[in-house]
Amino acid sequence: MDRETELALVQRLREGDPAAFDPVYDEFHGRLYNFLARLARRRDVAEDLLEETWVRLVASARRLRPDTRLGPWLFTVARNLYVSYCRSRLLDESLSADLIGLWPVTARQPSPFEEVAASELERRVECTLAALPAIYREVLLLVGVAEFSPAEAAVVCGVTPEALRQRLSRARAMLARELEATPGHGIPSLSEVMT
Amino acid sequence: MTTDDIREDPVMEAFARLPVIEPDPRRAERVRARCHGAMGQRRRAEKLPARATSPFSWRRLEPALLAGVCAVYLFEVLRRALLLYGF
Repeated sequence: MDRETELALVQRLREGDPAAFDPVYDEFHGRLYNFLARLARRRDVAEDLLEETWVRLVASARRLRPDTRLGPWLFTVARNLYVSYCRSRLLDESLSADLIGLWPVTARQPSPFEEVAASELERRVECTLAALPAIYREVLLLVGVAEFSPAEAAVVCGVTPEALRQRLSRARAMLARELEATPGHGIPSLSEVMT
Repeated sequence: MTTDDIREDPVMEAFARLPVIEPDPRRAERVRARCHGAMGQRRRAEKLPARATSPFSWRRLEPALLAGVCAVYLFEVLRRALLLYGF
């Protein structure tokens, strides 16, 4: 979507034109879902957060600034919703831990993508990505999958571009280290494949 | 990492090969319909105040009528009370 089209769509959304919603939805629905599903590591949570993201856009359409960049705006909302979800889940888990003693309730579930990744390398990347801390996972997803520039990703994460670049370097190093450390059986390591 | 570093980085390149997973199409349509409905409803709601601001609109008349009825009732209660005490 070029900038001119985007600005025209923002203007129509501000005017409350329901027809302007469809192109925005078609452009970002899949990308947002992939981002949220890999971030949350659960399809059902991703679907719920995605729906709420669109509801927020509709509710805020009139208040959008004329120069709004829809991609960063939507991903920021989606990310903030995920952060809120994590906070509420932490609260739930701390309460339920009080109720049922020290039963482990935070066991990591396999990402849906771990199940569908076609190749072993993809599977390993998915597994390693899913195991990274959320702040590094989101940076890698925004830049590597959603294809945002570091500056745009910084806006989404609410940090300075410099801080994001550092976080990205750290995330990339962690990912590479993890991939090197866990080669599959009879499968070349990532560096062997890539170089 | 700069944008050029990212493009050339083999680890970051691995992300581009990850499979794209489609969201549930039925739910996607439901969400689309819900958002369309909400935008349409908002639009209709915005047209309502234009009618409501006309000088003889019921929205303006209703509180005035209510206040009038209350005033008449209160006046009658007071008049009867005063009559009872012989004023």
